[in-house]
Amino acid sequence: MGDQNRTATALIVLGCPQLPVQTSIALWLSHELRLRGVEVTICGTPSARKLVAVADPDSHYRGAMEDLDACIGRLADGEADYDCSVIFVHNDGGLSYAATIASITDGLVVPVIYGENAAALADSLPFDCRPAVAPATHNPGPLKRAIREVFPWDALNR
Amino acid sequence: MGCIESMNYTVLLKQISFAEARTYVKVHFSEVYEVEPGYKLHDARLIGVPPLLVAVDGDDVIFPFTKPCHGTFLLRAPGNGEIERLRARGSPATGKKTRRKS
Repeated sequence: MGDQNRTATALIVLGCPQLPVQTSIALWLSHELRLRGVEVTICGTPSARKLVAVADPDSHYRGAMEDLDACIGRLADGEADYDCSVIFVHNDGGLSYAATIASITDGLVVPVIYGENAAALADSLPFDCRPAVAPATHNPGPLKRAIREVFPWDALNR
Repeated sequence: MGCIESMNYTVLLKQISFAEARTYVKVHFSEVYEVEPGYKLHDARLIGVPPLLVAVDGDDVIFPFTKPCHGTFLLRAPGNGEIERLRARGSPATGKKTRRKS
């Protein structure tokens, strides 16, 4: 992860796709990162991945996609790592996944916390980080602005 | 639940938080081990806030299992080799206090 000449990598970890903003924001963020030359992998449950695949059938905005459990396994076994992992969180399960990834990656971790309980979830984050937080459920605008403010864009510049 | 489905498991608690799972294991079991997030148990990866607690009770293991949409479940399943792996990691972490036999 220390080679500054190689392509920067990012992992976008989708949570439960119950709230509409997740898919939209994930595709937007993937697009923003790819425009900056970052290699993006999206992982999530089958339904979360299907929402992304249907919204972007020709992969204009996304890169590779991977099963969530397989991705956690590869990270935990040291077979893969990313310069930055973005984890979508809108419930306790999302917090658990964020804490898990924070403990098995050497890269930056950016929780994207959204939904009606966003503020309370952000307060209970169990590790040090700078999350993007907005109580967004349907309107992606506030969450997009929150990500723009906190995302470590410069750290991924090569 | 993927590979978990193929196990003969019992759900002790369902749709709880990771903190509730940890507290329950601490309070109800005396042989408790700390494992790191991503620990592989019966081909399942354990998800949660470290330290994750896994208990041994007789021939069974008790462990948290998290699903993105449904929160955390606390499962009991046959040990089948997992107990030996846990014990090989060293001394148990703190669990329920058991009365010492004299």
